Amino acid sequence: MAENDESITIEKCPLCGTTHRYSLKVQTGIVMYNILSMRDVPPPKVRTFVRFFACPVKGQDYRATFRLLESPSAPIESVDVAGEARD
Amino acid sequence: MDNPKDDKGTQVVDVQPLTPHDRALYEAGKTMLVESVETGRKFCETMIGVATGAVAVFVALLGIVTPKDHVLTVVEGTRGIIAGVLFLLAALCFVFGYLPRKSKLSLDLPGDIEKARASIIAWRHTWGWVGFGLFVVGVALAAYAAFCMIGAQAPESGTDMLLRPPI
Repeated sequence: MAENDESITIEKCPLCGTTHRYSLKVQTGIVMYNILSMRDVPPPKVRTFVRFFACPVKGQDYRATFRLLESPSAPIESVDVAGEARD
Repeated sequence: MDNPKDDKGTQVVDVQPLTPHDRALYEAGKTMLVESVETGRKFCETMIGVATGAVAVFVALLGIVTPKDHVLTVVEGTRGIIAGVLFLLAALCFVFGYLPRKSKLSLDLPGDIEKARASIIAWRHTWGWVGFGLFVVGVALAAYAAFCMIGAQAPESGTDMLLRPPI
């Protein structure tokens, strides 16, 4: 299992109307492929997630639906919101 | 709303305030998160009483269905003992689940708290299920032993002699 850092930008917060950027912790698994079956590797697919985000201005929560690209060799096991992204 | 993709392929599809249903789900989630440690402990606490009480209920039940002055055979006695032992073993498992556990954690490290919490929940979950499994097997065996005793022969008495068909 591996943990990757991703980021997501909410262009217009439904509560305060400003832009927020958050960090995501994406846990991925490991898939072992038989080298002989490499031609059968499926293409990456899009997965949709719904998470609650906290508006740093209003101090309230809102929900956002977003999509992540899932690689066939690293299936996404969990996505956690790690708070505001510190650039 | 059409949001551009982030540099790593994250695309926002929809953003909206929490609905009343979302808020209720969120509160339910918080309650589950906080109370999940206690749930296992309360289950083990309750089942200790149930498992030990089952021994007394089983003995009373056997007393009801066993004919008066009937002498238990080896098989009948073994069945009864095994059922009782299973109840006691189940109670022991629930005691293990109920026992307080010691762990070190720092409130400054959320990872520590999460690890300790997960460990306690897993411990109680395991012992709860092992104990429950033993309890269910004990109930099945106790019921079987009790039903077998219904057909047990009473020792010969005057009444029985009158009911026998004439030779």
